[in-house]
Amino acid sequence: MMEDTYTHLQIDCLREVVNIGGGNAATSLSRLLNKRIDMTVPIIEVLSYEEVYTSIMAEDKVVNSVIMNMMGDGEGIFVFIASMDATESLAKMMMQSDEEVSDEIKNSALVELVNITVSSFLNAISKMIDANLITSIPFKITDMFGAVLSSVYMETEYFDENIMIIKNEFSYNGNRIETSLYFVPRPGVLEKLFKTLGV
Amino acid sequence: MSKEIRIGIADYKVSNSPDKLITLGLGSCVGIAIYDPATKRGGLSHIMLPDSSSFISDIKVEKFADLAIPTMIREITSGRFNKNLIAKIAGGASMFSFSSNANNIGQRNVEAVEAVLKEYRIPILSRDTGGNIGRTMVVDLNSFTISIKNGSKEINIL
Repeated sequence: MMEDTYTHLQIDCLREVVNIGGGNAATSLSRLLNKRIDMTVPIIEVLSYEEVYTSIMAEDKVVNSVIMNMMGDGEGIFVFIASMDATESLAKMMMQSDEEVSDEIKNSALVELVNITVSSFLNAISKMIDANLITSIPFKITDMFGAVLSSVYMETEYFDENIMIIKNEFSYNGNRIETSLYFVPRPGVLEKLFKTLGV
Repeated sequence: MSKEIRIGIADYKVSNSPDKLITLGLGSCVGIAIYDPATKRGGLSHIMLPDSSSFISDIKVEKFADLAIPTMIREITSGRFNKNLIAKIAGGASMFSFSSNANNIGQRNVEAVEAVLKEYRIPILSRDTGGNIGRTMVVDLNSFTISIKNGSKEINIL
């Protein structure tokens, strides 16, 4: 289905753009956490909701989601999804302590971390394609993965049962941190990007 | 033997007591349970969008309130007129604070579901709609009791 809409070259270019954005985000995360954070190869594929829920995460799993709107020359939504356990370990890494941290601190640590991650992601891309891309302030909701993801896609006017997943995953010390950064462009944004890149 | 039947997004299923119908992670989508207490037969639909009229190609019946509900009703009643039918609905949340009111799909979904049920004169006995939380519905076809959950936590009983 994706092959019908976009060429292989376009998808490769998109992967490269997400790779650069995500790489920059991983570097910022490493600096923030004072630990080496790596990024896996970005995932770009078209999946049905059922496939997403069986292959990525169950729809009723309660997760922390931090959402930021992208505005300016292109619009879209960034969603950072972290499991409860990952939120806790990220907060501890950020606080550089093994002590129990309160929910309030955990939450604000996560929100700030996503703010930095997404900003550095966009920074890299803006420079590369010479575009003006800014973000809204982040906000966090804790809810079921399926409720969050389907609502994000509907909000960005994707009404199909098959959705294009664009995401980065991060790892620390070779271990996957149960977090992913999703990017959901509004309709037309990818076309604009491909035009800018000349593909 | 009671079975637990899962209904995915943009789908519906119909079954009989003592089975349970389950749909997970409703955000702005709406879950519609319709039931005949006399035969203890009922269905659960998970719609994504209010109406199909602005879509031209590849229309999946189960995705739209205006198409999914009538189709499910026919399957519950085998196409016969049935004045016993009752409904309970959940979902239609507005998950994000940045959603503009004009684009509130959750609310539009709920309104479309209400309109279709009204047209078929099926009363909505109870509901858990709107707000900003995701919902899971577990429908017991023996009693037509519906457990509303967020994650594994029960938050309401309809």
